[in-house]
Amino acid sequence: MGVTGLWKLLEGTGHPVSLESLEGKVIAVDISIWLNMAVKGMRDLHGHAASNAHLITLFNRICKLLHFGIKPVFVFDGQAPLLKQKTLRERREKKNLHLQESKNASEKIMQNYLKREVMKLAIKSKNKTQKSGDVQETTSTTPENAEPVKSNVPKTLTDQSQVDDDGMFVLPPMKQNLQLGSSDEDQETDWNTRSTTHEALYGAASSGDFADIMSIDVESEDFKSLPTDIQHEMLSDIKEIRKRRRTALETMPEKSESFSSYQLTGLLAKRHLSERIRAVEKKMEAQNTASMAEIALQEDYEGNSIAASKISSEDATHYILIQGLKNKLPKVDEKEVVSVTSSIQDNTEKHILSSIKEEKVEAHTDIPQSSKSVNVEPEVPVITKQKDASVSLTDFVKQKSKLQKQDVLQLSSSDSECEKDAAEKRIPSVSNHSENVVIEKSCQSEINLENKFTKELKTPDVEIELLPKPMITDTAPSNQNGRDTVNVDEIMPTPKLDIELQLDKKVIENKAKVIGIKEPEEVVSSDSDQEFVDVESNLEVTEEKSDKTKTFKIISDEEHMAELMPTSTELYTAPEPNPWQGLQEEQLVEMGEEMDREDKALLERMQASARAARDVSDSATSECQELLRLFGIPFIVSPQEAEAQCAFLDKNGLTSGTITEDSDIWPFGGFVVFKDVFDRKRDPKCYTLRDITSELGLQQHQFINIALLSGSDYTSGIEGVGPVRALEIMKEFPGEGMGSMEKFKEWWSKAHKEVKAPKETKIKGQLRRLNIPSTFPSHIVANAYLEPSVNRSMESFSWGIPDLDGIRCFAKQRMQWTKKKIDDDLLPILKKAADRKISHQPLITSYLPTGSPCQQRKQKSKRVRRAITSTQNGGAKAEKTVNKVNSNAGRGRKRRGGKTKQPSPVKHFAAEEKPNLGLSESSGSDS
Amino acid sequence: MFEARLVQGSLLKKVQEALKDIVQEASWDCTSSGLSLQAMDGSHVSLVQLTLRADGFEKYRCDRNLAMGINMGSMSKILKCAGNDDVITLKAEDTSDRLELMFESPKGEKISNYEMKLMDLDCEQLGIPDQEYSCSIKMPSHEFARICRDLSQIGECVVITCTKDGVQFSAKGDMGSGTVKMSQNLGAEKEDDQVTIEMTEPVQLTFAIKYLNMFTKATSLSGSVCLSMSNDVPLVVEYKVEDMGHIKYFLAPKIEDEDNDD
Repeated sequence: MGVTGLWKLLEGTGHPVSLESLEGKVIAVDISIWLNMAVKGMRDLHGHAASNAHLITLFNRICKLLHFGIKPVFVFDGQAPLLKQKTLRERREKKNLHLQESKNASEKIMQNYLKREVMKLAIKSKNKTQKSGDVQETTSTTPENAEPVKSNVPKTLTDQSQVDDDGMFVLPPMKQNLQLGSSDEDQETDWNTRSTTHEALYGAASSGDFADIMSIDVESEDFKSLPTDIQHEMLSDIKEIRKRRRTALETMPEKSESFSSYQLTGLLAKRHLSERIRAVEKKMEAQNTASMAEIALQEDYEGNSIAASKISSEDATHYILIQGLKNKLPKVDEKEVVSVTSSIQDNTEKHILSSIKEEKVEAHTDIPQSSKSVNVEPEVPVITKQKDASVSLTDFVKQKSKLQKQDVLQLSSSDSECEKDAAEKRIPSVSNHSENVVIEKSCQSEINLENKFTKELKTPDVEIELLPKPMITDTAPSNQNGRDTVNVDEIMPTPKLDIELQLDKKVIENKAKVIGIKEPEEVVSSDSDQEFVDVESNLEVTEEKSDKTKTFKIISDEEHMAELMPTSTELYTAPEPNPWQGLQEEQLVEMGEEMDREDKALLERMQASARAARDVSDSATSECQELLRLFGIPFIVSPQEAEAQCAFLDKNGLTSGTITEDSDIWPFGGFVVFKDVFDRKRDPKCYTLRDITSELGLQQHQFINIALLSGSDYTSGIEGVGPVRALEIMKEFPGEGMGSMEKFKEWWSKAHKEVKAPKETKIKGQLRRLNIPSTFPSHIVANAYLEPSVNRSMESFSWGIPDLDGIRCFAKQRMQWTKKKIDDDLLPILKKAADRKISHQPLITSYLPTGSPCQQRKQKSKRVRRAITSTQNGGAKAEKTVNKVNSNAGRGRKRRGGKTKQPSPVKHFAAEEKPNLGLSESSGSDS
Repeated sequence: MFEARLVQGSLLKKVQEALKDIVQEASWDCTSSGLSLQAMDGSHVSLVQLTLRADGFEKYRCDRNLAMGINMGSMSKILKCAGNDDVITLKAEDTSDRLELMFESPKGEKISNYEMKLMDLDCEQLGIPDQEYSCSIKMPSHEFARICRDLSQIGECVVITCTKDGVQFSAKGDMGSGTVKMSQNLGAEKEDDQVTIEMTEPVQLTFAIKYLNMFTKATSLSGSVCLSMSNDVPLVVEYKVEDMGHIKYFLAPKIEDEDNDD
């Protein structure tokens, strides 16, 4: 704001002023700078920016001004002049930066929050497992609380499922139970499932785990033995990661020569991958066509009532709608997952499994619906995948059992004891581990698919690949939930609901998103009512859930979530190397504290940058004007700059000074400026052009020159030149107004070209090294200061009586103030104002002539002193004042001539300055 | 080098009392002719002017004009350390930023030395024109103090009306009004108790009582006070400081018309 560093130069010339002495004076107030400061500077008790800061500030300051009987004229900024817009643009860029920072900080805070929650869990779980691990694990597994997922398949659910449905809403009370330390297995199940989901979902997707994927040996037999679809997805994942994160995975070669080989290896690896992918794709295709027929058959067997209709076809895609399939879900399910389901279904205790199964069912039903078509390929792989996943899930649930599908049968009938054992031991068996990975991979790929789906909707190839996705996504979240429950249960014997909810919410978020994506798709692809019901129920769930978790800030950013999740997954995936495991509790606590600190700092930063980014809106301006109207205070909206208008009013005697903090007022030609009037830490100071001229030899032209040299709102100035240097330049190149600048430029252009430095003064040597832009000195800038666009009305101002009722109403509405507070603030002021109306107290200075002001100023720096002596002597006017000598001499010599005999410096300038202090010009001749 | 020895130290203490309420910081000007001070109150409505002539001091030396910026609060604290009968000596080097104060007990058995930091003050000097006043009223200082104190209970402003008959002080406020009238009383035994009014034309002026109450802090300096008034000029309230000088207060009158908003 203003001329860079000018206030510092002028500091010594100001003298303290008491506001009482300003009573009855008409003073212009540059409100624009206030509002900016009010909006940015004001905070409430918690450090948040106050929403009505501008009004509160204005109100208080009006009260202050009226209290002292000052007659304010408020001046608003108008449009920024073109010159200033450039500077404004720079400022805006800065603001955007602030915004960004603020956003970053909030993200980080969220991350920290999650981290901390996770750590709490870790600490708790540690305690619990040590203390009461047994208790928890001996309780029976009767999962009555269902995951929201189940509501997706209402028709397939038996009685239990009714309970399940309720369970969804019963979740919150669970919280208390948990806190009480109860350890119902089912709750834990619920929990574990969810956390697993997350682990699965985000674990591999997180940046930290890329290495895991990348470390897979694509050529290994193990890999090849995987189902083709999983192979395919892993491969495409690897490819994707390579594409985006290559530098993170393989460090760049240090020598530049080896860079090309580095690139070449990269290319080769890529090619290899794509070859593999193509091969897998081929295999998949073959499988699909086979299984397509199978499914079709199945459907025929199962669903007599199934109605299928072709909705639309494209070159590569066919959408077929199949109705009535849902009704048949249980059966389909049985067929699909015979081994698993049949044994489990009647087993009430194995609810988890059934729930998983249900999900599976979901998956199945969805998939057939999605695309019975020529390219059936997606379906089967997905089904197999689901199977696989579910199997591995169940496996996972029974951590210990390293069994494949059939084992699940046994295990599912085995009692919960097994689980507990598994949980207690947590020894990841090889197969378990691999299966974990599988789950992760599949889930992750789901995510990836989703991502891709959203991103690459347009590319046809991808679409074929991705076709199942919208459908999968439907199931994916449900699956997630299912799995989640399992895992959290296992590893977190003491689920913490806070985080649970959070995780939950995120799942929901995710789901919501998925739904969002899906919906339009479905509208196109199918008219199936059931489909829609599905979606709707899903949405409901989402809504309900998010209601519950309102307290948490929802992070909707998917990437963001991916970033956030690793921390939790790391913790939850017991089978995998747990980074938290090695940590002692104290360390965790320590880390928590550290994060607390970090949080605090971040919060501060966020608030600070949010404040910086706030802008003075038009509405704020109009609100302020409304308040001023109620107070009966006149205001002017300057066509352009408020400072210019203030200076104009001052010059023309319409006001007797300006309250501003903006040093632009000086080049605009202000006479009297009151600074720090509303600064609690500093006393109000009065700067007069008279003092400045007598002490520093500066006048409007010199101020403009300083602005040109050191930079202001209108020009960025010359790099390396501040006000003091500007003074030196003016001393070195004396001249009238801009003449001095032109001389300087002329000399510089010549001197700059000379190769050899000639003999010159030290200052000139320094000046020669400056880099002066070719546009310097800009007459446009100078003219902008000399002839600013202002309202040239010479009408004098009038002040009305404050409209008490109006103000009360306004303050109540806009600032939520009570009547008492308003009255407490206003009534004394109004009374004072009324008293003033009856009798007015003039100042003693209006009766007694002002003599010479003492010349005891703050010591100026040597440089400044040297520079001013010459500006004064060599300047336009011969300002040889006795004061000059005096001011530099010691205190004792100050008034050598006696105060009455001393020629007053006022006299020198009285002619060109406007009358300043009432009497000063009428009786100023007495000295 | 500046040095001034005042046998009647209590005078300086009283002067200080008379100044400290109205000004927080002031510049004491030391010249060969004596000590003087001029300062406005914070609101620039009143002005105090003090003169202590060199001949009033037992010893006075001032080689070079000095302006000592003094914080009145600090000065009061230090002067409170002086006994009423003490002899006070002020000393300052030309280039020093300290003022030395020495208090000697009358019998010379106790000598206290104090040093006070001086400050750089930024003061504005007003020219005080020599002026003939329409009215000048001399009255016992304690009476004036009493009137001001009483009327300040009634209202914030006092209207001083001076006619041939005497001088009338009146105040109006929310709860009512009050008037005190003083008539000429040349028959009093002590000169200080006399009330004399010299008048060329009647005068009526309004003043804010709070300033008058600050002025009456000087009551102890002198038994009588002199009020000088003319229409539309500041009131002058003058207290003599023995025979060595005076302290004068100037107060701008209040203007009671609504038209004059400036």
